[in-house]
Amino acid sequence: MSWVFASPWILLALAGLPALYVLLRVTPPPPRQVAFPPLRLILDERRDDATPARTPWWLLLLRMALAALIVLAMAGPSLVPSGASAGRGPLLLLIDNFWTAAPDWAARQAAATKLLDDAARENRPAAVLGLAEKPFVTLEDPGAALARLRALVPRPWLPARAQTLFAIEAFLREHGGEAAWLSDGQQDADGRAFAGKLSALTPGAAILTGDRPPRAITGARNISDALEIDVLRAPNGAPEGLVRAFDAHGAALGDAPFSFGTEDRAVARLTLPLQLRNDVARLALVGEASAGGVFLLDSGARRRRVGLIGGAKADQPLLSPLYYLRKALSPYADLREEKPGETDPIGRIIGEGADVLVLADMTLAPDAREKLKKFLDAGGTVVRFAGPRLASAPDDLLPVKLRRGGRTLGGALSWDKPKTLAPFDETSPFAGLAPPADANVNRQILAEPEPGLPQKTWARLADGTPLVTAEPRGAGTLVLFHIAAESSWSNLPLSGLFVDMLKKILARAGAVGPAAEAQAEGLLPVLKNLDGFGVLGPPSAEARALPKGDVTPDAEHPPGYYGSQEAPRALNTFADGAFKPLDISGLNLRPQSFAAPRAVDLRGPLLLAAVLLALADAFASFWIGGAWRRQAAPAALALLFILAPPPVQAQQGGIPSRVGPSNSDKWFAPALNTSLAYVVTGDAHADRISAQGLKSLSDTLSQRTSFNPGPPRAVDPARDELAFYPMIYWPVSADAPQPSAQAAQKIAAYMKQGGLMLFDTRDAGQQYGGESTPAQDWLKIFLQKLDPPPLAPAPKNHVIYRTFYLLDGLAGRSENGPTYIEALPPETEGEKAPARAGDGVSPLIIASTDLAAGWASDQWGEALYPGGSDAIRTHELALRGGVNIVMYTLTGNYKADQVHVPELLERLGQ
Amino acid sequence: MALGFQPRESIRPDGSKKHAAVDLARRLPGLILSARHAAASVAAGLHGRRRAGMGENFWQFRPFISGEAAQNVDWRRSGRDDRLYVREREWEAAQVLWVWTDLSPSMNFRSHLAEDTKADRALVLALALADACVRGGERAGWLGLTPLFSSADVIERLALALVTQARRTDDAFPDLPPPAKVRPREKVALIGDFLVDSQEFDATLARLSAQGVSGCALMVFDPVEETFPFAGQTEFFDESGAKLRAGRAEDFAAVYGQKLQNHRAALADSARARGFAFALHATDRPATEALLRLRNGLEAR
Repeated sequence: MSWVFASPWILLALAGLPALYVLLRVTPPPPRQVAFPPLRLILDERRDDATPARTPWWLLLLRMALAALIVLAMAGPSLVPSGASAGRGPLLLLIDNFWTAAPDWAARQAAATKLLDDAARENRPAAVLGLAEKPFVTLEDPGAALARLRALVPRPWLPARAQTLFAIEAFLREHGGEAAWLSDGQQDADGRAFAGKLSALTPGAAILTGDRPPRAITGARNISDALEIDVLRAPNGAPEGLVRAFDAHGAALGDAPFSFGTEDRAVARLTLPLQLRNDVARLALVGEASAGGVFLLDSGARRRRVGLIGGAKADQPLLSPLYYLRKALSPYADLREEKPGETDPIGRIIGEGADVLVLADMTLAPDAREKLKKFLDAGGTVVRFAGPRLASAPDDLLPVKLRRGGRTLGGALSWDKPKTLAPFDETSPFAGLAPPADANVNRQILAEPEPGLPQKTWARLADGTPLVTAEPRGAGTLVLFHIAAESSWSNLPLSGLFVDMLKKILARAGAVGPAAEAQAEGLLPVLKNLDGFGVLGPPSAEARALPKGDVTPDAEHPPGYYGSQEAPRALNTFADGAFKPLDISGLNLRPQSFAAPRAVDLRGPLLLAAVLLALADAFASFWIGGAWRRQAAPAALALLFILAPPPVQAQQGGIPSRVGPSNSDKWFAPALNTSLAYVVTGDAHADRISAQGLKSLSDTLSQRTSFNPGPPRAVDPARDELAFYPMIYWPVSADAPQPSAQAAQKIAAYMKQGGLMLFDTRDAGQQYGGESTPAQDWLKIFLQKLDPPPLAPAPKNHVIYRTFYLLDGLAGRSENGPTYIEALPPETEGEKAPARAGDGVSPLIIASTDLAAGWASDQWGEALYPGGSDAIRTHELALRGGVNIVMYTLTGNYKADQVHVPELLERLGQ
Repeated sequence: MALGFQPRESIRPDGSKKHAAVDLARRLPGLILSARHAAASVAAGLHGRRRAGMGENFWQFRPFISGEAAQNVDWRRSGRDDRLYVREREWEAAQVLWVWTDLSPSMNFRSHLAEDTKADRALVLALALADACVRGGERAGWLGLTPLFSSADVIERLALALVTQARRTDDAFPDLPPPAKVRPREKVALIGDFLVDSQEFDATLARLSAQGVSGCALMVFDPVEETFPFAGQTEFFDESGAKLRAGRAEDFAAVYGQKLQNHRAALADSARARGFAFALHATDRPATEALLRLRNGLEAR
């Protein structure tokens, strides 16, 4: 701990204290002047020794201390913990603004702000550099640096810090000073190297790390019965979590929990029906707001429906081509197979919506070829395998012309050895796969050399002969493996490469229909980009079109969707890898945490102490002046009461005593006079609106209906008895803590015994698409404890819209917003009831239009919180809606039964 | 009204010199009203001699008694009848009340405990007393300042005389009544704070007593002058400019109380010895109380 003064020269004023001492000593506080006519009676009693000619020593001390405190405060002292501040010179803030820093970005900003505040107090210029930004550093005053800091956002790619080193070096060389690095705490690509260079440039630079190491989704596989999601964490990260799947419109489809155990990798299994699984467009780690915690799925991740058609049926399964294909594809695709003795398997399987047809060695009838051609035109993918039949009778549904007979390598009659596979071309869809050395080919069919053959070739043997050829046909693709799908021609079907190649083909296969892969070649334009927090938004300004092949996300290719709207390709933030904590051992850096103690500004406490001393001085002067006993004492006591903290509520937290007179009073009043109630949320603003709204609703009810409610009451569900209130209004605030289990039980009991909870999410107009708002999320969690009835949007003819006024909806401050109420029994066919109601009163209404703010009016009936385009109309509609809700609460389905009155009367008359 | 000593000119019933007329209109009615009000409550008890006797006003006609002086016959009345009548006049009690009030600066004081200054209270009492006397058929005047009045507007007359005197003397009034011409058996009511040397007070009473008058001395005091509610560092001053600085005013309370008691005892002794009644009145008490005390004091002698 050490003291630092912002303006130490002010301390010179302390030298003036002795002068003040003398001054104070010779000018005692003036006595009170009192007119007193009978003075002459006691005039001869004059006693000089009783008059204080000098200020009492303790008052002198008090005033000296007061002056000293003010001087000290003006000097701007702060208590700096040892090692927090290196001292002089400019401050260079290096901030890892990669997605790995996104989860605790607020803490990072706060820590950086604090550093800048310290610099501002010490009058040190500062510079801020985001390591994911362009390496451009300028020295600024702390205010401008703070603005620059606020503008920083995490970027959705992985750190590449080396490019900024030259700028840092140039800056430090020019200006000197110290550096502080807000690191993500991970090794990333070059963390250690960067740290080493930094420690060489500024020995003793501070490195600040957070306590939330990143987590990421590294992949997702659509297997037969579930979506398997790979989750990766940095060592010491959170041990478990939840992956949530969203569809393209942002609606949540399901949650999958995962737990790391002792590993750093985990797999979450999302079990959903296939159709729903294919709708999954985005996976996100719940509570991990970073681009790495989001995984985008494109059409490649869709689980394909693959038809397997395999000509002749072999007696021995291991010799059947379909066996290998089935084994290779079943984890990744939904398989449809030819049934024994089926007449038209191709037509049936196409009709079942297959995306890919795999034809083992077979000859095709002309009508089957026509069907396949149509399938190809529609965007399907046909994969054919060679074999003895194809070798003997090639047809025209092939990407290349074939030589008859084929070629045998390494056989008894051949000089050649079995050929291995050549590495895949860059342009090939198989690029990135590594052919195993032991995969070789004994026999193949050969393509007729012709122009364009290299472009059609996806894979070739080591001697250059094509092994896999393909040709776009219509919107689809026709692929030919020049080998058989079983192990007699090649051992490729036994290798993992075979599976990978089929997976690549599956991933490349577009959906059948117009949404086919339109841009098979060339660059993919940008569609949408993730930002550092993992929110999908419009393309970033720096984004460039995506080349084919594997791309690591960077500034020019931020993660997101690329390609056409119909068949976008997803580029994900974190394809694979592992997190490794940054190792700075042996480097001259000072590791710190964000939460490390910072310099404490003592100006405020000193000034407060000075004010208190000034108050004490005032009281002392009063006391000396003798006015204490008569006027000052009550005033001082009043002042003390104002300054004193409010008395602690004795009942708070304790067991409510049920026998106290105050409690019985508290419970008698609502029991004797029915009144509306609202739940105290703890948010003073919301509570005031609730009180105002229910007050004006109660007034309106008294004026317009025969129901005269008492004044609205604030209730705390955990403590107060709820049974007296027909309806309790609860403005939902997403920031509020979840109510205790005890409160939830009481509310559930209240709803069961006939009470009505009116929740108001107050978020009408904030609901975009299917995303749930924070208030809805809060309410969902809470409702799980309440055993709520099935809810549905209130239909237009629900009795709640008919109880007093005929309404179309429940308006609040905003006129339109969804209202959820207990689901009604299905409407009987043909009945057109003007009002429908279930049995009894719905125990739960969830409104969204901020009802209380809509109801609230001032004493003249004007809306206090006008909303909507026509405030007067909206206010009136809100009040009418409120009247209807209360009438519904009190009368239930009476109005729905009223509908039948004419018919009942008619029957009575008969 | 401010606390403490009031401006010097406020001793007058009329107020400031410049706006004498306006202030008179504003201020006198209040005094008069309160005086009349106070007097009304005691008028019946002060005077009960409604019978024939020496006087100026007609009382009754009575038959002529033979042997009486013929000049007593009221010929105008007797001419209407065969009998002779004598006009009798009401017996006029030769009772005279001189009032006097101490209007010195020390009276011009009000503390936060009282509503009026001592001077105001004393003036109201004096005027009320005069009014009550006149209503009771007696005559009243300001000692040493006015002749005796018996008219109903005695209050206005006395007030006018006081204003005139205040202008003449520049608002300086003596602490004790100056020597004046009085007749024996006349009554004198002295109202003041009597914060004077008890010897001087005794000398004044002795002079009055030598002139054959008796009466009542009412000592008017402000509540703070009795309770001495002061504490802490205080600087006292009085109208003469004398100052006393007390480090702890509460230390003086006991001494002052003793001194005050001694002073009052001296005054009371002196009054008793000179045939005067002596009474006390605090300005936070109702004025009627003091008026009753004065009446008792005057009737007892």
